[in-house]
Amino acid sequence: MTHALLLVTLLRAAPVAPAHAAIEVRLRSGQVAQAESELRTIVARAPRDAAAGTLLAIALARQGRTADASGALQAALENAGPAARLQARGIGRRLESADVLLQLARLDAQANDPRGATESLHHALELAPNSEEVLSAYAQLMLGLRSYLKALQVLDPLTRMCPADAHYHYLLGVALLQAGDMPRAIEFLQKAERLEPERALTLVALGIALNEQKRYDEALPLIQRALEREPQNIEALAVLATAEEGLGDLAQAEAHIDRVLAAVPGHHTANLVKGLIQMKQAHYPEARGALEKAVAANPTSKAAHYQLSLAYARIGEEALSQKHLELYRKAQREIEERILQIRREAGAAPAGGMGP
Amino acid sequence: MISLLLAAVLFRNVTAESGVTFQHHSSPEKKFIVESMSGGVALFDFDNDGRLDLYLVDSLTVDTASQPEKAHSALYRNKGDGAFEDVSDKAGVAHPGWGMGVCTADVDGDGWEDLYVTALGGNRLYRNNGNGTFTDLAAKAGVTVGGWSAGCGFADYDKDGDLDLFVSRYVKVDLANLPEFGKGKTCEYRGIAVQCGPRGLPGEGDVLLRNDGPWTFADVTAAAGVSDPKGYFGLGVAWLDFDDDGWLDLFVANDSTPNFLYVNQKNGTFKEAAFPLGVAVSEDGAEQGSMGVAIGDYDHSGRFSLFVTNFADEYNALYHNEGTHFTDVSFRSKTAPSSLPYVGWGTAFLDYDNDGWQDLIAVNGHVYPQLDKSRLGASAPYRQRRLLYRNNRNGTFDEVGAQYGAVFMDERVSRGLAMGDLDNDGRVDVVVNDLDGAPQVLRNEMPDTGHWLLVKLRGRTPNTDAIGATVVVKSGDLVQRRLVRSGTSYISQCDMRPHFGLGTATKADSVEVVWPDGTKTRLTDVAADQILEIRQAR
Repeated sequence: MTHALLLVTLLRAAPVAPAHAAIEVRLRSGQVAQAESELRTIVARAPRDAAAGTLLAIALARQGRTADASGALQAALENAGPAARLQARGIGRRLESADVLLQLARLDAQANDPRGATESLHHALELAPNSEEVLSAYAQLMLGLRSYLKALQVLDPLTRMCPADAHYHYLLGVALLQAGDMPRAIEFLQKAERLEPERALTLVALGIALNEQKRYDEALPLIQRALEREPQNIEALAVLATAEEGLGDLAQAEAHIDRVLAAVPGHHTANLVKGLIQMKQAHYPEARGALEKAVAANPTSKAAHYQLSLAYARIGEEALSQKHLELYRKAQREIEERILQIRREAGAAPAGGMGP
Repeated sequence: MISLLLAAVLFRNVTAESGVTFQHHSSPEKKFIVESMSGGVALFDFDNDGRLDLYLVDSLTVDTASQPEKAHSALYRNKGDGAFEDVSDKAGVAHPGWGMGVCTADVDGDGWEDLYVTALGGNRLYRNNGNGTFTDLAAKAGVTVGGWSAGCGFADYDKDGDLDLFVSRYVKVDLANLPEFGKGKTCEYRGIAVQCGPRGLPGEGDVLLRNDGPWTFADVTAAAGVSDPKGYFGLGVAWLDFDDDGWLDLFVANDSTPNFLYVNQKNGTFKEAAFPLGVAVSEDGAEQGSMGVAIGDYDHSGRFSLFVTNFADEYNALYHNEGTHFTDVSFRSKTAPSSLPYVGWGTAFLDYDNDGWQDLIAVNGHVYPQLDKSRLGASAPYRQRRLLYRNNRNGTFDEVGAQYGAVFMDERVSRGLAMGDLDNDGRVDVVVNDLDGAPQVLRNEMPDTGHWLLVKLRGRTPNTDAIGATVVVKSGDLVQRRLVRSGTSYISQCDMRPHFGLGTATKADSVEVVWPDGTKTRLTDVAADQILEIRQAR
């Protein structure tokens, strides 16, 4: 296709300014330095020109100047609206720049635009399906969006591509943990812990997974190690209290829960553990209060709904007991379906019970 | 070897010297779930000589399904000198088909203990003819049931004086169309191809049979409200009066699905209430793979608590009876952590040292032999050790199996367990039926145990065993309570004679029986170290 024909085609395809279209053509034909020069002129005159900033970023990226590219994109799109980012996404896609789409996804995320970030990364993945950076960004975004299955789809190959990278094993473990597949979560978090033994985040996540499997005696020393590194880590304190409660040390658990709730009164885990302790002490109205807070913090918590149904049953509120029993069952079904889907996609079957 | 030499004496494996040569059969690879679940054992006195005899259930395999003679269940008569004699063929109880479990009761009130054997494809009710032989009356009595039966237990749930029968059922199977090994999403375990099920297979509803007269039972399952409409995978069965209202309730351990606790409504019906009562699932709401169930007043609260054995990576659950509901005290009691790696089956509360506090035993073994080729995470392999919990007298237990050597530490694939005093020496013995292997007769030879009392109840006809009666023994500060039960452990039958350890007490201050009809018998100043027979007033 000739330059002129390409130019006409671009102008018909989208509302692109003629100058920008011409620069796109230059970039496609490898005239990167000339394109950069022209773009710098445009950007100097119109610093908020999103299209020009995006094209400049692409030009810089093609010269291997990644940091400069990132800066150019940020300068053009900072505080820009979704329409500008949409335009930039289109340019990045047309010019097949995975680097710029990746940067754009970060800006989308900063602008609290998860849909835009997802779209940017989808395009980046199409262009660079084996890019560690793109896969990693996509996984983290999906984890943030609680799209565990999508996160797992990219984290699994990432751990194989980078077997010595503790972070990917950690992320995969966290994805499995959040999806409810504890045995496999433990497997990957233990690998992460072996690769990077002193990382508090990993220790806490592994502690959570072990607690979920009732392996409290194994969880306890890990969490204590995490707290040695980060004594004010509220999440770690809540996980420690869970292990202590499981091991029957209710006084210690309560002391740690009090610290967590002083900092975060609505903390899910702390309220759940508090409810469990009060159930065991037959303080049912108090247990109900704590468990209501746990449910409010995490409305899909199977354990919280189950215990709350018991608390209501103990105080004679049968209708509410039944309501939370149904919510528990719904949460249970969702977890089972999610795990089955994960296992299907991972080629493994779930654990527990007599088979899958 | 050193640890074996140093092991303290508790149970000694006397299987060989006792003449018990039974072998349970199953296929080596267990490619189908029907080949993984069998193996009940019963301790009962079939010849009324005062000694416990032994019945071990055998099973067929998919390959031998059409040849019932290939399975040889065995009845051993206790000769009284430590030896047993195989009388299966003479007795006519050797071939119940694809056997699963067993429970006993004097069904017709003639004073002779009858035998009910659950099976895949039709159960047997062997009437004890009183002359060393039995006759199968299942079809005549209407208790064949069909399908895949697992647990069973007799009890007088309607208080009409005779014994009714509950049968748990597991999975619907068609031997001609079994799900293919390792094929499909429910036929893998952590990436390893294994037998399919129970998840993914249709469950089979349970059955309640009301005794309507001599060898006549009526199926009242639906009317009584115990039909299990969702087809949960029923295994262990336990009749108990958990709320002490004088009416027997019913607990059913379900594999991979919530357990049932049917509360007797005193009008021939039950209300299922396992969830609000706190015994349906684990503490965090997980459906567990429940197999066996033990009942005991382990903390002298006067109430019967439940101990349920579960699948690997789950914990065996101890549900403490609070009178109106149960509390999961599995971790507080310290019984849970040691159970996590194992698939638990037969279980019983038993006072092995006669100190007056009930201890706890559980036998284990996985269902997937394929695991041995790929050990997974925290899970134990196919063959697994056993668990023995010593009661610390404060609501907690210590797992002490390792102290007692190979009987507990040898890895096996166990299923049924029954406890009872085989030699009437006041120390509780144990018999375990292993899947696809030899059973173990474990004689309690612990030295320096406490004093004891074994209570043999003679109830009014027709419930001559006094099934459902409770016995309370007071000795000093100790107040112990037991329940006479048919159908115990994992699809097995323990000694029906309540056993009491008395510690240092040389007498019981009182022994009180509450008979199934609510009448009471009270004895005082009863000498220890005897088998005390108590007959219900006519």
